[in-house]
Amino acid sequence: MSIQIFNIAKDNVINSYVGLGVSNYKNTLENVYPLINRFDAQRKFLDVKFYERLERDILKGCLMPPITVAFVEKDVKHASAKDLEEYVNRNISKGYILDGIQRLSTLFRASTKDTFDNKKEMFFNVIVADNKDKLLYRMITLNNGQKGMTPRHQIEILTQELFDFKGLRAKVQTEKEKSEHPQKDAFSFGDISRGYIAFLTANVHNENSKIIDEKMDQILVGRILDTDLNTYELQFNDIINFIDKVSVSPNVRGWLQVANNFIGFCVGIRKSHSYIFQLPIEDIQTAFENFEIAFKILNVSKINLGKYRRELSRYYIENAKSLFTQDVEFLAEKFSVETITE
Amino acid sequence: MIAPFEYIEIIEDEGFDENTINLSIAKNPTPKIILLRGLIGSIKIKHYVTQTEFPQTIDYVDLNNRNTGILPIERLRGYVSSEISIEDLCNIFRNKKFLHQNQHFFERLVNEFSNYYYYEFKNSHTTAFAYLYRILETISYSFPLIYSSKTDDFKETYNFLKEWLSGNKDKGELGFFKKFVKVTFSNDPLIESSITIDINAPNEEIQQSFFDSFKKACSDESFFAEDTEEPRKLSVKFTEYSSFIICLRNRFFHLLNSGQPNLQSEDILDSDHFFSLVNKPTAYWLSLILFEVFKHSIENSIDIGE
Repeated sequence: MSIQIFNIAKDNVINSYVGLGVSNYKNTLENVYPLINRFDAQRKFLDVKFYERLERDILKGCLMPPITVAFVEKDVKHASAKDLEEYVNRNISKGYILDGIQRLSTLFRASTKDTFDNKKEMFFNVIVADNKDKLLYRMITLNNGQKGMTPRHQIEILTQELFDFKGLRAKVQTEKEKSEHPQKDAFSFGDISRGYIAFLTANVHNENSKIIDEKMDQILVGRILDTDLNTYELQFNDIINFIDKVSVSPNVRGWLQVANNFIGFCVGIRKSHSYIFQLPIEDIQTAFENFEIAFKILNVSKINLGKYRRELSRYYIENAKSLFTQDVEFLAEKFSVETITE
Repeated sequence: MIAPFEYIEIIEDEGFDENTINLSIAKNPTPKIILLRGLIGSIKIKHYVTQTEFPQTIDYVDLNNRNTGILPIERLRGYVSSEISIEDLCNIFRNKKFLHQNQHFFERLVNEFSNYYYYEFKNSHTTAFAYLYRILETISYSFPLIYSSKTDDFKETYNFLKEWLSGNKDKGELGFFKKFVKVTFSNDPLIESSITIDINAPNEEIQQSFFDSFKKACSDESFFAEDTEEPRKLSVKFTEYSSFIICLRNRFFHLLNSGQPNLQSEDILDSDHFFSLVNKPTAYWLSLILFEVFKHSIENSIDIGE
């Protein structure tokens, strides 16, 4: 299968023809992959973790973002997509990879594995320009526009956009709204967002004010990449709906409105949702009350209170099936063992 | 005995209230308070021999100046724990038992840090690095106690202490620090983080040369994090940072070990410039460790040291 081109248009800034097309992995590896060393200005930086994740995703059949292949031709004239298609396939060995070098080498690595499917579609952007400077200009503008949003920012926006808090009984307010028109019993939007990060990273410790932001962002991205997406039988939306349901009990709501409890809950529930979601609300209320009594018995120092709360609520929720029915003394003992052995 | 340094309060009296007055260097000049106020850059120091007075205004926990504009006591509270209030913090330092425990250990640390600040101030960065190294050795006195309290495995603790007490430093030192850091910071995102050394230099050739010198001194690639960008920045994994500075010390200050890639004078174009690149990040790293030491001693209300 060659590259099929469906659309063509002119880019007047770099005076080039641009086409959109499709091929498959097999053709990509045979004809496009060998071009990765042709363009001198290729990127050196490689985020290993990110591309390891992509390799796994390729083997599971993900669709990659389009690869951009460019050509330099002095007198170009392409009247139609068909025209361009013929040109591209005839001259493929003279092409340059403008965007997608890392993806192509990842694809190559994946292709050596048994489960690799070489018939999977691969989308392409094709650019034919009349000189190399214009290509470089497009490459620079292409690669530098995409920077900027940190994972935390993205998650905050997603939390706000994706989840419909308006349809809930429980109220959710941002810090700003809270200071302007405080609503009694409202969840804090910031806490929900922190819970979402905990859920996505499967980790209760995602904050440390002594780490510079840039490093913290790298750590979060790494953790999200390490958490297996396919094992998400549970969606965050399910958690939101559950919390809304049980919030009719002021005690249950109160417990979940303690940010550190909520964070631990969002991680622990990944393993125990099928058990907890079907419990009667009274049982949940008793379970939370027992947690509080056992936690008080522990008598942890104030400076680490939050840390222990996050860890123990995670532990408690994760092991709900065996712990929710236990008495307080037993719990306190379990908790103290948990806090020593880490 | 003559004290090598004198400490001067830079916050005006009105800047304190009845609570925070406990953290005033003028009112409560104890080593613990001087040490913390120094680390967060809110102190003035006088060097006795030269009678030089200089301000220490660099917040070593916040080298990127994210918290500029936040009052020093408030910054300090956040670094100790985000869970406590300023009143809680002041109460900790009102506790006389806590305040004076291990006085001698903290006095030594204050002295070593003051020397570091002084030589940094004088732009004698090679000397300043030597003091950072001395700080690391001093802090490590607190390690065995903290380590034992953080692990419940007698065998592990026993091996750790055996290595430590045998004094077989060449063999045990690297593994010892690493083990300590891993246990103390387990569960903290810091353990996955890294510390970046920006290779600032007058031109790219010199920049490359400094970068190469670092790599020559520490040839173990596993020390470095993925966001290293040759030759502009060298990123050292948090857990490997102790190994990294021990390496630097060995390769620069000890020329004895034959067969090891020691740093020759021609490798380092300008040692003060070279060490000026590592000193601040190293002091940041030491501050992070020190805050954990503090937290531990607060948490247990019993203290560490000699």
